[in-house]
Amino acid sequence: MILCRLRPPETGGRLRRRTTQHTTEGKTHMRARTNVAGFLLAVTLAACGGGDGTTAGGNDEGSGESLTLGAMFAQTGDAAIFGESQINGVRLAVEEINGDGGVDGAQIDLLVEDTGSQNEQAINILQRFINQDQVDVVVGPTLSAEGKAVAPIANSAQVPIIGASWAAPTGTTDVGPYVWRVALTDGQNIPKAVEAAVERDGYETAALLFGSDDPFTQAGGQAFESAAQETGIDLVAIETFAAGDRDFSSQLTKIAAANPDALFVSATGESTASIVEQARQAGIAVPIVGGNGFNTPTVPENAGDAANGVIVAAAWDASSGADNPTNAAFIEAYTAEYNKAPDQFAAQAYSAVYVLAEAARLGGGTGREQILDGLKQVENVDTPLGDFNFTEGRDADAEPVILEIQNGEYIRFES
Amino acid sequence: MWEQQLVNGLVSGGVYALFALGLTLVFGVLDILNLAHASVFMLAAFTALLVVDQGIPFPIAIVVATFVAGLLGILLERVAFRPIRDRADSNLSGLLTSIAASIILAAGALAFFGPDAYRYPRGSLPDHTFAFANVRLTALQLLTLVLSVVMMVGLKLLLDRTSFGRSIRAIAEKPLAARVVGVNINQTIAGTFFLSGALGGLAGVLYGLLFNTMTADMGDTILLKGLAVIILGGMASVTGAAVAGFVLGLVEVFTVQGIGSEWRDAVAFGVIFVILVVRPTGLFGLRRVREI
Repeated sequence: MILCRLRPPETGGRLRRRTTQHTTEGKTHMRARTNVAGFLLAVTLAACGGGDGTTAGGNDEGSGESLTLGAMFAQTGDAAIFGESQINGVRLAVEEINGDGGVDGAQIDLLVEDTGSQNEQAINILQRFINQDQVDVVVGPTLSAEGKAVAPIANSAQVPIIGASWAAPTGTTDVGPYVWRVALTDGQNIPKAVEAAVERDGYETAALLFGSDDPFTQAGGQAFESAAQETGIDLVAIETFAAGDRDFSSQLTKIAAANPDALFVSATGESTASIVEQARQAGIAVPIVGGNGFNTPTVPENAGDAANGVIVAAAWDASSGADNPTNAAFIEAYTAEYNKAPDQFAAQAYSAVYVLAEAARLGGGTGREQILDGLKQVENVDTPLGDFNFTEGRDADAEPVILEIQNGEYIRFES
Repeated sequence: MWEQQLVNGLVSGGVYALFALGLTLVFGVLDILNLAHASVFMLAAFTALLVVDQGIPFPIAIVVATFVAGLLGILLERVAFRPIRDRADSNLSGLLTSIAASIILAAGALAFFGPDAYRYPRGSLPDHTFAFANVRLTALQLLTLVLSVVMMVGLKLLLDRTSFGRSIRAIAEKPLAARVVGVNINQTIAGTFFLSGALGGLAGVLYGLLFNTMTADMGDTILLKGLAVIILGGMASVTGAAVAGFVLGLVEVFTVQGIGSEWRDAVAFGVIFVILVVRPTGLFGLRRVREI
């Protein structure tokens, strides 16, 4: 008998998972494994589902086989504030889907790895996912920079990869047909945020501060520049910083002296809240329009009252639960599971799993090519982000919502 | 605006100088670049945070954390440097053990605190801002300036005027001769590491207070600047490190102001490069390294 992959073909109830966690050099690696009972069940039901148990390449055919999902996010490093939400979102979605009988009977087998917010580590993990773990599809990594590093590798290995948070407009999905994303880009977000803010408050001048050594923050800076041009805003100061900087006082002093009507900031990770806080300290009291890095509650949590007046375009809005029952259910389940409210990054990662599950259904199997085939057919998948569709360029086809931070909460921007 | 930038530069320069002084002391005495200094910087910042989290006012936290960092310096000396001190290649092996110690400490911090950024509880730090003429100076910036200058002057006096300082200088000059005239080598080196740790720790605490973001990897950026500062200052010169710290801080802000922020690091390191071409020994280094 050909050895089949030792996983339960169909389990009615929720598959119990054991998570082993071991630490190497301070980086945490997690890997979910089916438990011993799962193995025994699989051995007992040695029929291996309907498939004939191919092992290599993840090209399982038909229903009953498992779908191996490789998830890699930044659990450590500068982007850890996003990565944690993303892992939570992915785990929740996988649990729910497996609990509901899997993808046409195939359970999702989840592997989780930490990229450490580093490109090299992301590349290593992807290669292990592809060659050793034989994953069928990859979700992540967190940062656009990491995405740019891994996208060509996944594409040439013909493994579908779905970015849940890459907001740099170029360098990922334009690499090739295997690279997709459910995130809105800052090319989609920033012009809308600037437009809305200008419409309401009528700025004539603005200052721009962006990280110049990171693909995402740099692309955001460019998006702000072109948005300013289109709305006729005069950029009176353009300043940059480097990743890892904590002291923005000299840039902000210069900006304060230019006396702009608004401050545009493209930053990510821990620097977002610090910039907001230090801007207020430097005497800049005007509204701050931020890029995608500002879409996390850690900004108002960390910057406190200084965050009031931060305007941001988001792919997901907690308050849309009223008209989107899927979103309401997601928020409830997430809050129950993790004891805190989800953010945009959790919602996007959660949605990515539902999108790829739907793709496997549409493609008729859990193999790499079948999932790719299914991704091309995806239409109106019901997710917390709304009815989800891809654009021709494999990006998310959606309109952002504009949010404003007031008293620690993201509220709908009132124009 | 120029006045404000001057203040910005002096404040960050003060932190760089404090950090670099700790590196300089150890380099002067043992000829070892102690790369674990960055981990002491980070752990002291976290120590201050833990103390403040207990509801203890932050000035006490500064003192406690600085002291703890000094003890950590002694521990490092005992574990990472003393065992290899008599090796012929002790500067190289010392560099390596310091890297090892640095990784262990950083990994420990990561395991204990996790990857998240930590901040002081809201309201535990003074948020007063002094405004005069065109300058805004927060209470914490003022504190940083004052403390860094006080520590530098204090260190200089300690080295020049006390017998402990003389012992340190004697070992820096010639360990064997120092031993012959009765200097307690182990004690003096341990004391040097206490001072070094305390200086690096105070720099970390002030950095954490100023920018209110503490992460397990917060020592990485400062380490590069600290190395640049001691090279610019003349490796083992205390005065040189102090002056070079402020020079780096000022060059950084005035590059941002005058040229543009994207040039900050390029110009800062470019200036260091040019100075070293003109004066290879650094600002205050002697032609043949006569340490401290």
